[in-house]
Amino acid sequence: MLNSKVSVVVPIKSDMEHSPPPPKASGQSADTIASLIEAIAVHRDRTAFKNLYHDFGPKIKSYAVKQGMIETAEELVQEVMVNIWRRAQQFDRSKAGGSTWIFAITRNARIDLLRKLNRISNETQVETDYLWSLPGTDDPTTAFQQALTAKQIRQSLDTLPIEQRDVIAKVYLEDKSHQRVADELSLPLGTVKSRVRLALQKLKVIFQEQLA
Amino acid sequence: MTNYHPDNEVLLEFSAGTVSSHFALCVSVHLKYCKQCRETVARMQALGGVLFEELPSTPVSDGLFDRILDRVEHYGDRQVESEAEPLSLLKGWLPDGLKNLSWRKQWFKLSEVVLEVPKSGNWRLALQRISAGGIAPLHGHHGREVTVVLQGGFSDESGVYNEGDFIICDGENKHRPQAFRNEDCICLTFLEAPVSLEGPVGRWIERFKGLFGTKEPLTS
Repeated sequence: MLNSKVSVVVPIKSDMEHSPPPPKASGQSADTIASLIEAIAVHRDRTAFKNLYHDFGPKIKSYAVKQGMIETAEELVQEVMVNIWRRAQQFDRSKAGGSTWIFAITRNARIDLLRKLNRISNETQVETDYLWSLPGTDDPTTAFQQALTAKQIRQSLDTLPIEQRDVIAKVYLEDKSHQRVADELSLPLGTVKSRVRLALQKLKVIFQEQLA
Repeated sequence: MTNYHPDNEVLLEFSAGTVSSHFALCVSVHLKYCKQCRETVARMQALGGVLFEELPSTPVSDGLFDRILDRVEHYGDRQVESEAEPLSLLKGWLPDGLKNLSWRKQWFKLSEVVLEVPKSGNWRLALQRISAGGIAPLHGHHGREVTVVLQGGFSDESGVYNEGDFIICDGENKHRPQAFRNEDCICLTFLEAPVSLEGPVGRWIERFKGLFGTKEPLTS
């Protein structure tokens, strides 16, 4: 189903005349994702935009469904893609990996959509994009190699015991509090917390000295 | 240099976007002060990106991309410039920073500027000021109280807090904050539920709640 869609990608002529050939997204390497975002930023490259959509649209939809936004899942896909288009110029591959940046855009779009739908009542007047600033935009002084970090995390994620990996994915992608994950898995809250902590340590997301 | 930080559980829930917007505001103000937590959040977001990439694909509707293209036709760029200055997040309420504010006295050395209160419900976003050397009344908490020190510092039974420090108190803690002697202490506080005054005088005052505090947010 998805493959057949990929084959009907029709580049829009006016863009193709002015842009270099866009990178293919199918390999999904971190560099490819970054190049696609840059092509959108610099050339307003619609083919790059479509390639990114084919890779990430169905993932954004999965994320929405996991978050319980079943009826608004495709609305979220639209919001995220529009935001990728509009904010691409602020992407800087030296400060953030492409998938990290898209994740942050998606998270913010989800929060924003829920705020607009009033499903989260009692909001502050401060806009979502200021409360949760995108990676790379908040810290000009820190030369932090986030793209490199993502690569290390990807490698060590495979070495995590399955139960640690499950718990971290649930807390992170399913909008579940530690308590709710504990209830779902019939585990004591302390066990869930320690699995999360161990996973974060193994992935070198947090360090021993920070555990005070 | 801050010494009190949100714990990793809080930073993880912040990165995942599962905390309330007011709570996120307090975390974000702390992040402006704290490089260590900014880097932790950056790594947590990188983890989010990796987990996100590994999500399965759910088929999307046929016409969806065309609808997206229709929409981008009408939009220009959107630049959100995030400023390093910690008070930048509060500038909607504080155009002059911490100057020229209408402080309302709450207790002998304690005053407050309400930033936001709900139409219904009990939470309260405010600035609180303890005058130099002053002591706030002993109080407990019905819900969480999140505090970020914006100017000066204070101490209580559990520690000494400086500019940028992030502190969460809940129902288990009762405390009596005292400002440093040399400077007024100003904090951003988010109360999920009202505090309860403790001690003989405090409990007496609790019975006259109407006299204490204001429900009118600052408008600017």
